[in-house]
Amino acid sequence: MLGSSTTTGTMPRVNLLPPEIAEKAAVRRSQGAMVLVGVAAVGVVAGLYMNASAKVNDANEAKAEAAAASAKLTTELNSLQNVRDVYAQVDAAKATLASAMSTEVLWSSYLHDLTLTIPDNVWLQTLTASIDGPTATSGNKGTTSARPVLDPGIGVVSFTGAGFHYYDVAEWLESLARQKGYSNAYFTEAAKHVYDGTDREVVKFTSSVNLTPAALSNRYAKGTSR
Amino acid sequence: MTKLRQLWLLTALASVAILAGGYFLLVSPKAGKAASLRDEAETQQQANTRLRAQIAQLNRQKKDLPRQQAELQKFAAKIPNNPALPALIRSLSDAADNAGANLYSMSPSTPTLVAATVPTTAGATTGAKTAAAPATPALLPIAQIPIALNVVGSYSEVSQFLSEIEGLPRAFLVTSIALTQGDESPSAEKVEKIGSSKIYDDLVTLKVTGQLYMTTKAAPVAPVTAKPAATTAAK
Repeated sequence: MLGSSTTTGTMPRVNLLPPEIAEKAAVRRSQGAMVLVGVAAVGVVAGLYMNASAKVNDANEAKAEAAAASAKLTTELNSLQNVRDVYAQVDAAKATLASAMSTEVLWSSYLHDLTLTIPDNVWLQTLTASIDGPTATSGNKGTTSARPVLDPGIGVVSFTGAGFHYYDVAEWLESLARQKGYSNAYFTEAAKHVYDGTDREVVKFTSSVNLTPAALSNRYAKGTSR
Repeated sequence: MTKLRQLWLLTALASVAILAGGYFLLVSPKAGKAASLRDEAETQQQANTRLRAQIAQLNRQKKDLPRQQAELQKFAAKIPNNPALPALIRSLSDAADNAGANLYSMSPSTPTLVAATVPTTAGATTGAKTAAAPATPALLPIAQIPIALNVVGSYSEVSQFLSEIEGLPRAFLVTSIALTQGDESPSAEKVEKIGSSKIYDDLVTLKVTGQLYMTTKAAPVAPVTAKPAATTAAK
C-alpha cells in the first residue's frame, strides 16, 4: 500500500473566461456609472438654468416695481408742476427786471454826495448826466477819426460852474476824482470872466467825468429764486 | 486602450459637452437676460431717486410758494402788463409833493419793444465769470416807455425827488438828468459869500429822462449779453 502523503499548497487559479467576455462584463458593470455621470451633468445644467430663471424672474419683478414707482412719482411730480411754473416765472421776472434795470445809477445819492464834496469857492451852474444804454454801440464804425484814449465808461456827467481862481478848478477836479463811480475827471475850458456890475473876477469852467460800472446800483442783479 | 477606457473617455467628453452646451446655450443667455433686466431696474431706480429728489425739492419749494407769488406781484408792480399811466401820474405827483418840488411836466412816449440784455454781475466787467455762470432764465418780453420829466425846486428838493422816484413801486430807470440853475449866474452878493451858500438855496430846474417798462405778449426777444462798457467802447 502506498502511503499517501498529501502536499497541500496554493492552487493556481486559472481563469478560463476569455478576456472579451470579461471586458464586456466590466463594461456592463460600468454602464450604470456612466449614465449617472451623464445625468449628473444634465442635472448641473438644469440647476444652473433654474437658478438663472429665478434671477430673471426676480429682476423682472424689480423692474416692474421700479416702473410702477416711476409712474407714481411722475404723477406726483406732475401734480407739483404749478410750483415749478411759479418758480420759473419768478426767475424770469427777476432776470427781466435785472436786465431792464442793469444800467441804473442812483442819482439822488450822487447829488447828495456832491453837496458834501464840492470844494469851497466853487459853485455849479449846470449838471447833466447820462447813461449809455447797454445795447448801444459806441465807437466809430469804419470811420478813420481818432479813438478816445480815456475809458469812456458807462456814461458821462458834465458840469459847468465857476470858482474864484484856477486853483479852485483844480480842486474841483480832484474832488470829482475822489468820488466812487467817477473816473477821468476832465475839463475842456476854464476862463476868467468879470461879473457884470462888479469888478470881481471868477473862473468859469466846463468839466466832465466818466461813470464807471461801480456807479451802477445793481440792486436788482441778485440771484434767481432757486 | 481598452474599450472600457474609451467608453469612460467618451462619457467624460459627453458630460463636458453637456455642461458647456447647457451653460452657453441655456444658462448664459438666461443669466445675461437677468443681468440686463437688473440693469434696467437699477436705471429705473436711479431715475426714481432723482424724481424723489425733485419731488422733495418741489415740496420744500411749495412751502415757500406764497412768498414767490408775492414776488410775482411785486414784479407786476415794477413792470406791469400795461402802461398803467394813471397810477404813474399819481406816483410821480406824490413823489414831487413828498419832495416839496414842483413837477412841471411829464411826457411819456409810446411803448416800444425792448431787445433785453442779459444782466451781468459786478458791473459787467467779468466776462469769464459770465461765461461760467449757470443757464440764464428766459426773459419776459417787455416794452419800454420813454418819459421826460421837468421839476423845479431847490437843489435838495429835486435831489429828494430823484430819491422818491428811485423808491417808486414801479421800476423807473433814469437815463439822464440835467440840472440847471434858475439864474444864469449867481448874484454878485452871492458870489461874495460863496463859501457859505454855494448857491444851493436857489431854484434849480431838473430835467429827467428815463424809461418805464411794461410786459407785452409779443414774441420773446432774443437776449443780448451786456458787454462791459470798456470793451464796447473799444470796438
